Amino acid sequence: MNAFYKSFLIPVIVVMGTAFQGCVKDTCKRELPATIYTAVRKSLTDVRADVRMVAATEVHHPGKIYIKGSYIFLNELNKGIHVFDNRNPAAPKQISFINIPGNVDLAVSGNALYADSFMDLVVFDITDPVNVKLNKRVENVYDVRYNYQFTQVRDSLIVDYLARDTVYQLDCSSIPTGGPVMYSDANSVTLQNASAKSNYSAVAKGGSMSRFTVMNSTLYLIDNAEIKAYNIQQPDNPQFANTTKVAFGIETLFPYKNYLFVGANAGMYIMDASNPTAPVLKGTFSHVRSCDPVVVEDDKAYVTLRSGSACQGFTNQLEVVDVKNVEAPFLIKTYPMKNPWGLGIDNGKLFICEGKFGLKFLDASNTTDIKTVKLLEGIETYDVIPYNDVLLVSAKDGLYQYSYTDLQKPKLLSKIPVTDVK
Amino acid sequence: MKHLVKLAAGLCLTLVLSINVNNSNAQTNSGKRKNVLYNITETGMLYGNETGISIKTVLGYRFQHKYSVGIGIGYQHYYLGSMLIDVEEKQFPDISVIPIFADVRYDLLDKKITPFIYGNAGFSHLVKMETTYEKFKQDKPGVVFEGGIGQKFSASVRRSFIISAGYQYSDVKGIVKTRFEAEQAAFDKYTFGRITFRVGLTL
Repeated sequence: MNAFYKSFLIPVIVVMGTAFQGCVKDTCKRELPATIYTAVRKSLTDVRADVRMVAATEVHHPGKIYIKGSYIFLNELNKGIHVFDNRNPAAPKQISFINIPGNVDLAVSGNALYADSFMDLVVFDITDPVNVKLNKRVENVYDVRYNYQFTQVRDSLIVDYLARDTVYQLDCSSIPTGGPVMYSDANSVTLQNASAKSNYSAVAKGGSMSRFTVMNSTLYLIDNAEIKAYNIQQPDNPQFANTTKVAFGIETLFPYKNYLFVGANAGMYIMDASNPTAPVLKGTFSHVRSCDPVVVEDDKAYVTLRSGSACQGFTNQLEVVDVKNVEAPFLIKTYPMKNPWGLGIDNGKLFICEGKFGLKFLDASNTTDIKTVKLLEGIETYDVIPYNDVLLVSAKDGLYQYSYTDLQKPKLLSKIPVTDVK
Repeated sequence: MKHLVKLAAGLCLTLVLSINVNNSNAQTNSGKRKNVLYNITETGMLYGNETGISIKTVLGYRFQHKYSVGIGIGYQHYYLGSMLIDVEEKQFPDISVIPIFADVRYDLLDKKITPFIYGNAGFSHLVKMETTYEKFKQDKPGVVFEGGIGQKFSASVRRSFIISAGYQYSDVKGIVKTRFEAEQAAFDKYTFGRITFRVGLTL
């Protein structure tokens, strides 16, 4: 037996080793988590009939905001508008929800609330915010925006998506690109865009990220590369006046004096709206490609540039631009930022949302030496409206209100929570 | 072809070693063996889709003459096979792991020259994994199993020379992100089957 071991063991080792050659295969399995969205379609007739007041409901995907007196109108992305009684900012009360399929933008003038509903513009009477009434529907305001959401015969369109989580089993040679979101419908581009925006809650009030604004009895709205003007001298009966081509990539509108400051991903355009229904381009301030909301005060424009895949840029900064001469705006100074989103200014008090890096309170009384007075960390902020020493802050987890009477010690007044759902 | 040359070289080495030892050692009764602490340090090659290297050391205790148990730590370096990623060769992942494992051995004979069987089981910690287009981060330890046979040539109670061959299964699990889509993550599990050839010393 021992002789066997001595003589044959090593050859046995070699033979066994060779025999295992079939077991030396390497493998790699890749699991890619994804969410599948399945389109929900509705007939055009049903969509248009679905605009109505309903009971107050939870905030899930907050969009843009408009403040009208003591009331807050908060867009629920693609669903409608929440109405809050904010007479006591320390305890805002949700009083109703206006169901508006396809709603993203809104603006208020007098007692009229203007909102988009897919390709239409709808006008509400908000004289009694508890009992909002639909006054008017202007059909097919948007020429292009929702074309690809229609079926081929244009008798129905995508109104929602049902989300389902899944995990794809892939080969490791597949490179994980394109994002974790998978669509089961080819006509899904619009929701993808909307979803990209759903992470921020742009605040209107002619705010830094609004695509609707009202000035001189005219409603302006962005439709792709155009600004459309509607005469609203009769508030509940907007009349189409004019279309002005601007540029691709225009994103935001901010009214200042008789000018429209148009934020675009390649620069800021200044439109002279002395003739309200026919604004004309007066000046341009170009910058690197980026997301760039803008606000203006005392002939100084404050522009934040943000990097990110949706914005195509790599720059994060605040630019202060002198716009006294609108035909020749020039840069006063640039300040580095981390990830600036929306901003607001009130009498030299500047507020900048820094995304997941928090909220900055800045002293901008001297534009060549803007100082950060306070940084609120721990909240992911997207846009602000300063009004009457109350700062309305849209954040990932809710709508906050701060008193900024003392800029160094902002006081939290209230928070309207966001319920996270798919 | 390169793989076959390396495999042949490894086989030749083990054969030469076995011939030399067989010629110089007579079977001897090793009744003086006793329970002892010992250390084994082995180095060797890992043969698979691509050749790798391995070194490991085990601190153990031998009892009842034939049985021994211990714990070990090592270092292994792999190149992954082209079957995993169908891209240019330079983009093959290059992986290094530190395995920590339990080691059990059994000497088949109570002789100075004895065959033995062994087994290892444990976990591995990823030290390095590089590709040119992805970031890989281990999210939980991998596993390592190995079993095989060998021959031990004892010079004294502790000192011996050993050769062995076996089969090793291991895996590496982690999160992979492309360098361009930092937010995009997938979960990868690599498994490796390797023939092992080792030589080592016990002290």
